[in-house]
Amino acid sequence: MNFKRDIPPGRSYAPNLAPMVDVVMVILVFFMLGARLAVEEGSLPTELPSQVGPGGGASVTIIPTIHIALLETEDGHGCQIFIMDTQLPDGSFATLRAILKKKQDEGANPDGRVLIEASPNVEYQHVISAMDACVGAGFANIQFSVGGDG
Amino acid sequence: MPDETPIRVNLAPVVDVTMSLLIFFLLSTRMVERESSTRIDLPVARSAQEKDRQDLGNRFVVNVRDAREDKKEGVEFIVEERAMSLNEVLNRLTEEKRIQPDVNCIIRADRTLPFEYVQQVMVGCGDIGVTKVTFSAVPRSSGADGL
Repeated sequence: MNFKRDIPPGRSYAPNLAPMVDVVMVILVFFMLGARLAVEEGSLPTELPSQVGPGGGASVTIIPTIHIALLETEDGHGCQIFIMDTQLPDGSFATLRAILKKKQDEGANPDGRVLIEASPNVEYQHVISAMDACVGAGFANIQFSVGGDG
Repeated sequence: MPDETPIRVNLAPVVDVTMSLLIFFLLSTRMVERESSTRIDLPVARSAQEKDRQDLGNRFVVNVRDAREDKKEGVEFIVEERAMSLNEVLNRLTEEKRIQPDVNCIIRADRTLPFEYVQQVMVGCGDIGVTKVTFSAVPRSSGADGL
């Protein structure tokens, strides 16, 4: 293709910068907003026991490998963590995670059931943190006690 | 005979306008989506995996919103932008389960809520026979979480 033919004689060819800057700016804004607006939302899956029927949610017996219990503290915001009925002294989920990780390293079955039992007044965030600790330590089969006894 | 000027399509304005339109639609749809999601302050979980909507299968999303901020009692259950009672939610879920037996119940709840409300939804799921339950969480907090 001979581009030179389009250029009038005696004039030098100069690219038009204005539309280029225009488009580049729009693309820049597009990526900036696109990156900022990307909704970060993850998910933590769990399975309820499959043999439940109507009213059966509370009656299924689960024999867990690890049993975690969460109780609310008196101020209502914190929570006490019990693992296999032993209370964690510092009540931190990092410790829970470390303990679970240790169990995993000691040969605990990663497919073994981890049962999380939370009292009804515990903040939802703590329950998710406990689940997060389990998943982070490598346990995949996490179940919840949903019985009315709390 | 007049001088024949070759016709040249100027692509720059076309791209310009197209991108502007794209941004407009992108923002407007995001806004709609955000409107439904900003009201829920999801809990933080570092190991929460980001999944595509398709990976979650047939979704049934239950939003559990802490209504105490609005000086109201207890919680609000929101399904498809409509606030309803727990019974209505479970009726909808039963209907959904009949159509799609492998329905995945996604619970999006405020992090400050007492667990009992989430538990109620889970007990309902168990009663209906919906075994797949997924909790929504954000992989990291925008503020200090201290947890």
